[in-house]
Formats: sequence, C-alpha cells, structure tokens
Amino acid sequence: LARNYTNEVEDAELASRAAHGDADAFHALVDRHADRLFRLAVALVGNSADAEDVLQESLIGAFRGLSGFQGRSSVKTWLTRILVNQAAKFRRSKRKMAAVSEFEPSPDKAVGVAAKMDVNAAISELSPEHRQVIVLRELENMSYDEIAEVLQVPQGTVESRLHRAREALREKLKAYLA
Amino acid sequence: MAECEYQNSLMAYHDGSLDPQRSAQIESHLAQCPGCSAELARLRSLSQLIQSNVSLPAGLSQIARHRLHARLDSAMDDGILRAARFISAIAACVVVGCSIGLLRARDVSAAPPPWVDVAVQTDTAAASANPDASTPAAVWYLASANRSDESP
Repeated sequence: LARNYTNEVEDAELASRAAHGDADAFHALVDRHADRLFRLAVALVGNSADAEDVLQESLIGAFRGLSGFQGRSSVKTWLTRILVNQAAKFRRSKRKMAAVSEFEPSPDKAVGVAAKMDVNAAISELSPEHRQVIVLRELENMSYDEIAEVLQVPQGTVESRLHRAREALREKLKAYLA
Repeated sequence: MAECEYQNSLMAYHDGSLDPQRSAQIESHLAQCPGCSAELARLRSLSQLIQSNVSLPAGLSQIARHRLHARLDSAMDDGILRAARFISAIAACVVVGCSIGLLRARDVSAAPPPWVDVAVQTDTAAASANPDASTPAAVWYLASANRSDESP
C-alpha cells in the first residue's frame, strides 16, 4: 500500500496530522505498528483470526480517540495500551481462548509439539493480568517502566504480577523445568 | 534455607531492570550464593521455555493488511458521514430557527406602518387651523370624499 509518508516522519507528527483529518498519516502509522500489534494480539487472544479482529477494533478505536491523544506517552505505548485493553475486552466477551488456541505446532519431534502446546496452554490459563505481564515482558521484551505505562499501574504492581505469573507458570510447567 | 537479602532483586536483575551499580552487587553476590544462583537459573529456564515454545506470526499477511486498511477507510468514511449528518442537522436547525423568526417579524409588520403615526401627528398639529384635521388622515380623506359626493 503506497502511503505518502516516509519513516523520517515521527510517530507523534503522524498522529497529530491524523488528528487533523489526514487519513494517509493514520494509514502510515498503522503500517508502522501493525505487525508488532498483531503479534501481541495473537499472544493475548490465542489465534490469528480473533487477533485480526482485535487489531482492527483497536485501530478504529485509536483513530476515533486521536483527538484525545495528548502525547504524554509514546504512540507505541498508546497503541499497545489500546490493544491490550481491547484484547481483554474480547476475552471477557468470548472466553474461548482455550478452545481455539492455535499456537501452531512446528514440525518438531513429538516432545517439542507437546511442550509448545503445554506452554501455550499454561499461558492462556493465566489470569488476564498475569497473562498480560508475561506476554509484554517475555514476548514483547518490554521494560517494567513500559509495561507500567501500558497497563497504567505502578511499577511495583508490574513486578508483583510478574512474580506471581512466573510462579504459576513454574507450577504448571514443572515437568519441563529442571 | 533462610531467604537471602538479594532474593527479591533477582527477578529485576534477570529482567535487566536494575541500575548498573545494583546489578554489579548482584553479580558479585551470585558467585558466593548457590541459592540465588539456582533461583536465577530457574528464572532463565522459564523465560527460555516460554520464548522458544510460543510461536507467533512474523506479522500481518498482505491480505490481512489490505483488509485492515480497507476496514479503517470504511470507519473513517463512517466518521465523515456522521460529521456531515451532524452539520446537516445543525444547518436544518438554523433554517427552522430563521423561518420562525421571519414569521414572527411578519406578524409584527401586520401592525400599522410607521408612516400612519407620522400622518396622525401631522394632522394633530394642523387641528387648530382646521377642526376637521383632528381626525386621522385616512378618516379625514374619506369624510372629504363623502362631502364632495353629497354636493351637487
């Protein structure tokens, strides 16, 4: 998709132009963040089809909320926050991740496939708060500061949730941990 | 085993969230504390297990990306349409308001035009000279016309 903006234009500038009605600026912003947000959505909701829906709804929500974006956090953090909230809303309404979790098994040997299924099942069984911090930390490699900003909780809360989430995963996955 | 004072910092160390000075303290402590070393190894094993077994897609497929942009365009058009409807509704209110205002102005204009008052005032001023002139100009005119009709 050809868009009029190069990578030299900052995210905040694109957001500002989009807020003033520049549709191309918003499409350019979407192009920059779509892949990362999609991966995050898959990790949070468990399958590509639902993740695509969550991503679409999140970005429509972001477009409608552009005028309220103050620039206090980065565009990346702002979009991530919207997506995490949308994924949580989606899961609350559907509650079907366990049934459709797709994390595709790679053509490894059987034990590898079992490990993948068990790890993904263990993550999907976590509470929403614990799953969010595990995904943001372990798969998105976000710092505690960034996670706190995305979830809008104190850093201490992030650490305690992460600690409890890891304890829960350790218990569920002890067969794979020496 | 009694909990080591560094135990609570191990997770932050593992996640790279400590400042360099505190990290250096942890590193020198790890060389002397088998309990903390074992705990750090467990944290690393869990992270490795998660990262190597959760396979996420590289990103959106081209088709999905196209669908996403099309959906956004549609949402933007909806927004423009909503804004247009809103502006139309305001314009309609303004037109209705103006129409009501004009109708009221017409009711007010049904009263005698200002020149009638002027004519009455002029007649009053001339009443001393001519007693017939104490009546409004239109009545005086009709009376005069009647008189001329009655004369042979």
